[in-house]
Amino acid sequence: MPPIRFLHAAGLDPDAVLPRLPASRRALFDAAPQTAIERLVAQAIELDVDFLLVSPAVAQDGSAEEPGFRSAIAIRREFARLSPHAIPAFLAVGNSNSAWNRLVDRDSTLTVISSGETVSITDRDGRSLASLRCLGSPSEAEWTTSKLRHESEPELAVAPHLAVEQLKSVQKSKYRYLGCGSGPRRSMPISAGLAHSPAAVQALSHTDCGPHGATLVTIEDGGEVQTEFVPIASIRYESIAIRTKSGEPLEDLAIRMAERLSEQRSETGEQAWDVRWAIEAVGESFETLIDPAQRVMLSGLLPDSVADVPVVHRVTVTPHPLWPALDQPFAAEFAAALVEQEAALSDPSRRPALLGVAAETTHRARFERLLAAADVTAAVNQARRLGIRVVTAANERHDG
Amino acid sequence: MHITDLHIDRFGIWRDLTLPLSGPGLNVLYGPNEAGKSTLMRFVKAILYGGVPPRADSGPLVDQQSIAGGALRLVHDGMPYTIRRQLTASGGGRVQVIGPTDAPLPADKLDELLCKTSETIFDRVFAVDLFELQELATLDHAELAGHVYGLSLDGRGRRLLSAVDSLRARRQAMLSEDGRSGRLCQLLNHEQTLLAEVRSLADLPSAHADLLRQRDKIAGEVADLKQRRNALHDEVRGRRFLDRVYPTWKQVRDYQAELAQYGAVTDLPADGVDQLAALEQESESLTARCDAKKRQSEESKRRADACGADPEIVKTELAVRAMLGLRSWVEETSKARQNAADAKTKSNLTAQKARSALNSDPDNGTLVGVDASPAAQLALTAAARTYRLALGRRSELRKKYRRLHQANTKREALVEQRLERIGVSPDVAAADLRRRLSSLESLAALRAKEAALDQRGSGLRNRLERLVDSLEIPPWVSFVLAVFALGGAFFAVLGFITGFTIGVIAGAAYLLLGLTCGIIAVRMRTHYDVALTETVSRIRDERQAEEVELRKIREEIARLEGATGPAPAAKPPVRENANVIPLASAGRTTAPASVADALRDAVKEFASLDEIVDDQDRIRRRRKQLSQMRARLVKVQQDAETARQEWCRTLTRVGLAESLDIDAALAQWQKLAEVAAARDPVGSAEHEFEILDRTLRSFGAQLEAMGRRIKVWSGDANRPLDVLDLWERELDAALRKSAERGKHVEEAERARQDMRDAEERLKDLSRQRTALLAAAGVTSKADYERRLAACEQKRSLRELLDLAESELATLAVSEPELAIVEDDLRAFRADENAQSLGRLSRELEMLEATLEATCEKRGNIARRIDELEADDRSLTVRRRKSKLNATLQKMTERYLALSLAEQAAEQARAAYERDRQPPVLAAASESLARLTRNRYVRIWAPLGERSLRVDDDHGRTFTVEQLSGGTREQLFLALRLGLVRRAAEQGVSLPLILDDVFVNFDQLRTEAAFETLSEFADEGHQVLFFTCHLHLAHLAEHRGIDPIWLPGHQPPMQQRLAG
Repeated sequence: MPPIRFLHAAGLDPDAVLPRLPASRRALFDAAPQTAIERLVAQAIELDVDFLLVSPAVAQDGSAEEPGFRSAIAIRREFARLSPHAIPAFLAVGNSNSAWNRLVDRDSTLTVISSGETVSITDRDGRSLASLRCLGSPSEAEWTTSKLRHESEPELAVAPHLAVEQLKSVQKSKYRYLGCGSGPRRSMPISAGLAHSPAAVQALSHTDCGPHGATLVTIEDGGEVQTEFVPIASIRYESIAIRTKSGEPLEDLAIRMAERLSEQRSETGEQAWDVRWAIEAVGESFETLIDPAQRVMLSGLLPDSVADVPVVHRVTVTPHPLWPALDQPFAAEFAAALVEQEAALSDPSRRPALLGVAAETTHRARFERLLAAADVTAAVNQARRLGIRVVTAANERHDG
Repeated sequence: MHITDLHIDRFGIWRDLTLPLSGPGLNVLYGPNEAGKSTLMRFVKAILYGGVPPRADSGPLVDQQSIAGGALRLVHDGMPYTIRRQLTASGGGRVQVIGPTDAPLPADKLDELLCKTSETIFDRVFAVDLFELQELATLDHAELAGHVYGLSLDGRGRRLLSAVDSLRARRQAMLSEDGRSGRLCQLLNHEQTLLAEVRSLADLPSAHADLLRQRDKIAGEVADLKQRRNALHDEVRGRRFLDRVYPTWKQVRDYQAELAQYGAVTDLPADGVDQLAALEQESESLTARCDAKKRQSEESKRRADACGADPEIVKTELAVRAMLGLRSWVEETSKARQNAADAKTKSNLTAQKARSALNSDPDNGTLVGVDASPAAQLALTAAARTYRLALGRRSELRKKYRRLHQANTKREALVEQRLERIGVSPDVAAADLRRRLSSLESLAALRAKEAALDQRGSGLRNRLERLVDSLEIPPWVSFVLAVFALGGAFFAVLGFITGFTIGVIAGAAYLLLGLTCGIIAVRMRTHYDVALTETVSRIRDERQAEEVELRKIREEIARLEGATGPAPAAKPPVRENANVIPLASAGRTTAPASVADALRDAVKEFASLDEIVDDQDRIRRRRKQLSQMRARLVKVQQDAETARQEWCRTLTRVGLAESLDIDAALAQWQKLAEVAAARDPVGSAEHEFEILDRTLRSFGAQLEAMGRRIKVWSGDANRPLDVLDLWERELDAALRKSAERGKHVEEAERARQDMRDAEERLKDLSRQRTALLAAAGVTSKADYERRLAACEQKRSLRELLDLAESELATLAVSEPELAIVEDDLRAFRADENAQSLGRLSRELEMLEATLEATCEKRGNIARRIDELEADDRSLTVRRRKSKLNATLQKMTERYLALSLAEQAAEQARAAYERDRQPPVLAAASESLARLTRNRYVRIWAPLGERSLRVDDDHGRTFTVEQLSGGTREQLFLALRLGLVRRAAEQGVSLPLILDDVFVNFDQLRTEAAFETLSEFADEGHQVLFFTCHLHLAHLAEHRGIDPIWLPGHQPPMQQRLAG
């Protein structure tokens, strides 16, 4: 059995819009998803892989989101670059392939595979390398059943809709490599090999921090699976939480933040970082940082780049969970209520009922989805900030 | 203030009525319907605040000026007052306040008595009938509402309320309660619009795909057309090529046929005739030249013979010249021989001096045997250094070995001495010592235990002594008791004697007292004696037990002391009386110290034994080390012997006698080397002189031999230079003569050679002519000229053929893709070819037109594809949708945050409400709980609202409207009670007048209400409770309250009894 070497990427979403920042970086941020595709194809050519395996973006409802018209054209153009190098590409789209199928040109080496389909992968000389199966959901029966043509071939599978965390029930899968198209970058050993999610080639927000790219997968002669990170993303998101003491000068805080930032290591090809600072502040520091002008000043004190990569800083302020002091009037009640509410809201399905969304609301279904996808922690932090204003205002001495 | 009685001059149906009240407390006034209860309540209000009196039922008013009037007697601050008022029909009237001294007081005294309570407040709180009770609005008066609803919120409450309202408003601004308006709703509507736009653009991909398909199809058509066009072009080109090639090809074929007619005619040079003429002319001139050269050769030979033969010296010219060439060598050799002779003389002198410098005069053989070369010096120095090092190592090791051996021997002697002192082996001694140490440790522990027991025994003894001392009753007590007894006896006797009764009695009393005290003292002593005896007995038992233990310990100590040697301290004396614990002796206190000394000594001995053992180990190790050193010493000794042998060998090798004195040997070698160095120049100078002299003599002999051979010898062989000069002169003369003869011989030879060259040239010219004629196949010049004309014509034809073939090749090169096919050219017909060309041109024109149309169509499609691909509406819409989605997420989180904050603030507000309820509501809550028998436990007012909430015992909250009528009346009654209590706390003490307010209460709650009122009255409030229900009057009676039966409405006795 010959060794196999291929590039696995996920989260191809050329239509995505990254949160914009200063005008000077806008073009970079707008082009980042498209740049990721270009780089992915370039890496496949440079690494001279046996094939390229791609899972496109997965929408919140679990389906593969179809690319926009312009993006589809761009994808087709980029994948056409693989043809002269005879590198086949497999686009695992799961249950939705109508739009993706349009990407396949007459001379393209691109193959779109849907749930339940199995394709044979050959090398440039036409020899069979492996069989690749596209899986829909963990409940499918083929998890442990080999339906491949040659039993000696390594069995590869891709599940574009699933994350590694969802594979706990299928650890006995017989596949040598089980690629996931959803979730963060993670690996999990399975009985015959490895399950791996490379995460999106380009992060789209601060919920997806750290370096992003593809994974170079090597299956050795003996069946051993090795993975190697291949940086792709041009924009990197980082979210760093830091705690400040009451009355700490902004300069000292900036120095500590710079030290925290210097602990991060940039990857090849990164052109900008978008760093969100979640500063947990208390007392005087909170009062200072809640002022936008002070936050701008703090951002100005932070380093403009990390290892020659420009950095854009976003500073958000989170009040300390135990501030204001619970012995202040109303504060304890407020904090207790928030804790109770946060716990109750942890179940997304209960949120509409807890918030009393009217049954006859025009956009009830959409609003419920929005509520289910909402970041409760961020909302609670906002609520805490509001609560601080309420508590502070209520406890102020009445001048009148 | 409370009313003590009412006096009605005239009011409503009442005339001259005096109604005494019971003051503070519950006053139940019974009267059936229309008995005048409400009139009485209105009378009280009218006296206090004035107003229009009711019409009398008995007829029209008589006196318009004074239609009603009466007085209220009351007590305020403990002082009696009377308020009298005359009422007029118009509502006016005169009021008079009479003080405790029956003197009228100023009118404003009434305000003071009413505590400045307004009539409205009095009407709504203090004087309430059923109608007013049922109306919540009666509590909406500003002053009352402040008490009931807490409207006088502090700043904190107001700000909290404001914050909650603000949060709610902001949340509703994002999404209204019904979900139909708000910013979020607008965004969601906008999203729907965008989705519609996205759907409207859904046709773009399919249109694009169609165009792509069309483009591919047309591209195929274009490719086919182009292929067809190319094929036609190729055909046309081929036919045109044939058309161009055919004439040239035909010309070539014609030339080739004509050339074939000339057959095997060979080509002749064009200048062949001229060549033949030139050959003949040159032959004639060469014949004449041969004759001239023959004559010249004969003349020169004749002149050479006239010069004669060469002498012998010329024949051996080379050898003679070689000898002459050695002239400079002979000169230098002669000089060198002279120098060698001088050096020989000088070296002999120096050697003489060096030899004289040596002490002993070595013979020549010794000097010759000494090797004074640098290599010998190096070897000798190295051998000396090696030998010295080996000797040094051997000496050092020997010293070290001796030193260690001596030290070890000394240590062994010391150990032997210490072992002799011990007498046994160290192991045995150590075991004994360990046993001894163990015994001493046990002994020390026993000593400590003994001392502790001694100390405890001492303590028990002291305690026993104190107990024994405490048994004794102080003497003064006995003395006092005796005085009492004796005094008593004395007075008793004196009484009997004097008959003085008091004295007897007193004496008896003293006697009795004395006896009593004595008995008590005796009994107490007996009692304590028993207890003390028990204690003493117990202590003595303990002492005995300890004594036994102490004895055992001492026996053990004695045993151990016997085992470990003499006792370190004297044994304590043992008393015979076992009940007495012996005191610790002074000697015993030193015992532990002695044991410690013994322990210390034992430890020292143990350490000494350890040292011996260590020394033995050290000696063993040292012996082993010495053994190893001996082995090393042997090896070093061998090394030294080897070095010595090598040294001796080196001495022998350099020519010295063997010696172990390194320095002396080196010094001797140095001197001999110097002598040898001085002798060397003498030998070499002699040797050189001999060689040079022998060489010169040999050269002279060779000169002589050669001189005799060439017949030029007349000198001395010992003077070679003179001989060489003579030979040089003779050789020069002979050579000059020989040169002249050689010149003539050379001229003759040159002439003969020229003659031979001319003859050879003549032969060559003859062969060339013959070859020229043979090549043309003729034998004469005329035939040759004829044959040459035919060749010229054939050459001309060949040139024409070459030209045609070149032209054909050029044509072939111009169309590299086409080949010249002989068969096609043979079958070529010009007219047919022209017809085919015309047909093909027409077909091509049609094909070009079709292709142009198809390309135009393809261009249109490509343009439409470009337009579609340039259409960025889908991207714009998707980006707007994505941005909107992000905004929606943020807004949703904001909404969530606002909701959370609002709910949390609501909870804070609820807590604030709970903590900040008005005192009136707190008091009312208590009353309501009693009125409803704890069914409803709490009344509260939402912060900032003029409404009430009631919590039941299950924590449920109800609004006033949600309560039943009876419960609502109980709520309002509770509120009044609370208000009155609050007023009383603020110093406003007015009677509470209730007019049949229990009408809608059920039995249980009626009783509860009555109890509540009763308790309320017991707090010091005056309550005037009017009722038309007899059972309530009986209930009051049953509870010990005498109802006031309004005149004419005395109830039947039976009913009263029954109640």
